[in-house]
Amino acid sequence: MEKKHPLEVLTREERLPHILCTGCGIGTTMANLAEALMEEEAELDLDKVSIVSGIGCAGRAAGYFKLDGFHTTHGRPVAFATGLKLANPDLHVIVFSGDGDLAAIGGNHLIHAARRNIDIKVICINNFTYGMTGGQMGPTTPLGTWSSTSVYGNYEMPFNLPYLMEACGATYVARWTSAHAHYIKNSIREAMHRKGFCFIEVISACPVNWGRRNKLRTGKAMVKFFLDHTVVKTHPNSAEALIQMDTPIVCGVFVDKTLPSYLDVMQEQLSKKLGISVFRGDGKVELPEDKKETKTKTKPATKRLRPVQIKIAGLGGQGIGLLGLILGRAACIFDGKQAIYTQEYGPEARGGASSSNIIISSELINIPYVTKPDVMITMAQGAFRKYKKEIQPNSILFMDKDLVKPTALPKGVKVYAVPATRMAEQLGRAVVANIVMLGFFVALTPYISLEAAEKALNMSVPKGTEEFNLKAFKNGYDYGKRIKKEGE
Amino acid sequence: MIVRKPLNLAKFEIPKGRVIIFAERCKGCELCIEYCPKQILEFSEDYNEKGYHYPVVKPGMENECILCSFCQEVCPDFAIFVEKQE
Amino acid sequence: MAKDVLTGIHFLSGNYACVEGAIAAGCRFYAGYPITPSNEIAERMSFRIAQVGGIYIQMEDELGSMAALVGASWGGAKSMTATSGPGFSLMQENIGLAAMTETPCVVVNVQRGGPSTGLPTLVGQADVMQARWGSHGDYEIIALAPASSQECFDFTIKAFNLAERWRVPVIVLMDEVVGHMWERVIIPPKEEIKLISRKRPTIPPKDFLPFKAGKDLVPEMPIAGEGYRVHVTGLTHDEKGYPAMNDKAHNKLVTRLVDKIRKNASEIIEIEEIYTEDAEVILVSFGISARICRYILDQARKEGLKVGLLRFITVWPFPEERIRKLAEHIRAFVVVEINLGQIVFEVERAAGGQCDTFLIPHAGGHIHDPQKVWERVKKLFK
Repeated sequence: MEKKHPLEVLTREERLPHILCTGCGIGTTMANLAEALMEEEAELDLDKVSIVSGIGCAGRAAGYFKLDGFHTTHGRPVAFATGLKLANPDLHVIVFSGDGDLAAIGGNHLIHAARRNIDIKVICINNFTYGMTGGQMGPTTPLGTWSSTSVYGNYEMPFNLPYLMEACGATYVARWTSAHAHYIKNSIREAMHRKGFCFIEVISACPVNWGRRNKLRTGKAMVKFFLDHTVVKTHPNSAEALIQMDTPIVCGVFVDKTLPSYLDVMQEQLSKKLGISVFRGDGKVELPEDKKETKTKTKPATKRLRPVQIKIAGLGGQGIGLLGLILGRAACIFDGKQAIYTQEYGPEARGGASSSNIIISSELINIPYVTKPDVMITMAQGAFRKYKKEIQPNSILFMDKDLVKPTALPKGVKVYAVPATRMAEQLGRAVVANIVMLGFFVALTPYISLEAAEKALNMSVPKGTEEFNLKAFKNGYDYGKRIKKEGE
Repeated sequence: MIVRKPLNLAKFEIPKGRVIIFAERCKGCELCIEYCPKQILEFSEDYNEKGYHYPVVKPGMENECILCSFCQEVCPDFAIFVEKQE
Repeated sequence: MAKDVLTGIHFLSGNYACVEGAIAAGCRFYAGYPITPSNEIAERMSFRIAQVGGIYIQMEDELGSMAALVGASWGGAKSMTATSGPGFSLMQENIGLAAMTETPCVVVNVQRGGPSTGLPTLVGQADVMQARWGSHGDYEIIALAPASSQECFDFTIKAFNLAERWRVPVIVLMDEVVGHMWERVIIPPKEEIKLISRKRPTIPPKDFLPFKAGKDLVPEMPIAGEGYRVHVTGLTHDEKGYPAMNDKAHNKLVTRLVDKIRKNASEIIEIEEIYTEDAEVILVSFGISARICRYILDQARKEGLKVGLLRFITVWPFPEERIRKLAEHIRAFVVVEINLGQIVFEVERAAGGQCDTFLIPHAGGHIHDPQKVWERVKKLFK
């Protein structure tokens, strides 16, 4: 009877022999990964082990394992694995890919996943080349060696990957060569027992596309080279791990520490504030019940209102945006109307002229911008100057009495002025000048009801300041009512 | 004071293994042959379907395998494994 | 404790409404990168998704964001990202991966003026063709174009449902105006929101073929960790999921991927038609431009001119059958889009020469001037 290879439990044996060459270091690493998983089987649910690979000879590894396997795009396995792990943190996610895929095109994802300490195990096959595409140089090709795109010798310094990974914050960093068959397996087993970002570099024989042109013509010759030119150290220093052809390749476990993983830190920080202790992308989270009922029926608009265009102009920092937002909320949430609110501003955070535009109507509004304002509210002279040309004849102009000196207004413009900033200062804080203006506006126009304005104001200001803001509002409102009476 | 305990060779059992080879998977890299500590493997005379010579146990050395598993762990092609001889 | 569905009446920007729609749809994984004018989506998502136990991760770039989305979906998550033109270009590679591996996911593109860095804070609608053809090779996606804050909420839920039903990436083609303007949004009670999730395997792993599909051309989707030991690759693959590097397998697979959307288009396409039955001229538009067209429509009907409006709710797949049918009875289509000609080519193609097709272009930075559009339409009736 045909005997079965003990690792066949984990291999898609119908796809063997695989496409890799004679003596390929990837093959040895795959065998070691399979052995490691088999030896861990008692504690590891193999259904929960996923393997993610990129593009290249090493990238083909995922296809030979009888595990949930993902053969992704070039350079992206680490990012893919991040998403996979965060969606289902119960998975053990192993990334198996090559030096070019992980450190060149995928370099950004590698360093950030290490920085974040995402709980994935990265096995990096470093064979000094882009093997699958014919042997071009890569980010780890040793100085001076031949590649198909550096035929006079490579003149780029390679990465020292253990050093890079340690600097980025990886919690387990090891390097072996494909000659160190047993050690690779042990490192993988160690990594499976650690939580956090683990990086295992395997210097691998690529006899056909690198070795052959660098005087190491066979897998056997490369393995012999590795055995003759490596030095295995306990606690090696990653700063000394740069690979040069004339110095020994330092192997061993460079970093082995325990730090909270990305999810651990996230959970610790957020659980205190949110009362949730588990965060997962697949949504399998228990949320506390919330039985609060909320209305969805809008109050029908009391009377038909054709679209009213309101432009609020001021300087950045005067709360122009907030004023528009409150008007919008009042109209839509509490008055049963429709509104569109947009903002216009430059790059300055403070002091630049900006405007907030709001259209209120009882029906759906088609054009979202204020083109011919029926009402202009101006809080500063600079803003008045900028938007002066948009003031329409027979429209209404609201202004801060002290800050705005209007000149050359079109025919029929009705001006309402309130010393909003001064009144706000008298109350104690100049920042509520916009709220004073709000009250003034509501008193003198029929577009927003008093009740709606007060409710919208209440929900729009920082917690604890509701009373103060309501006072400012009332002051503006009363001032407006007085003006209205005087006018009659 | 005992510093080291000498190995009791009478009680100590050297494991005995059997090598199984999947000739059709082999790509002739020779790593198992080269690095077997007991040197019990050699290349076959004939070829597999891909045209490679594959390892065979040297005649008479069938019982020399000590189950170190290096061939199994270094083979890039899942083409060789060892099992314990009962 | 915040809920996943904030039932009630709200005043929200399109970007904020999109987030609420996503959370209501069950999105619990967001991976993205900041880019104007979509930043508000990332910002609101970062705290809303945490409130429902989901994960927000700000990836190092858009390439990683899209890859993480595909990975998370295979881990069982409903995943989403939001971006604009330059980021959308970077995401194309893995949108292709999602299409090839039939991975449900949602990509929101809040379009801005392009090309290149262009106008980060101002509107454009010039990514329409890119949404359809952005990645290399033959594939189909679904794209939706909301035109109001309410639709940003509704269509994001629709996007998730379509992605899960058809196992395809779905693009929500917003634009800067729709994303940044605030309007009334009514969020219904949770029970009233219909959600669709991907088809799960109905037979045990032993005989299961992960990429074999039934009549609707959509295979059942296993996810990682359930024992199906599925192999997923961007290479051309057979029904087992194994790479199959030959033209026969390629033709079989890619044809199915494309037919999956094309043959089911009638279930996917949604358009809005106003006054098209008796129209002589039909305005064709989507997104914010369609709202301008409504103003034109009102003006036209006031003056007795027979103008109609066809609005794409789904821009892709393109409703060519309907366009072809309408072209039989009208004098002209007038396409209004904020670009120098993209969807107009599809309209023209579908009209098949049965009527004229005119474009009112705008390179971007602002919506069309309604008066100018009205003048142009009026000219057709002289």
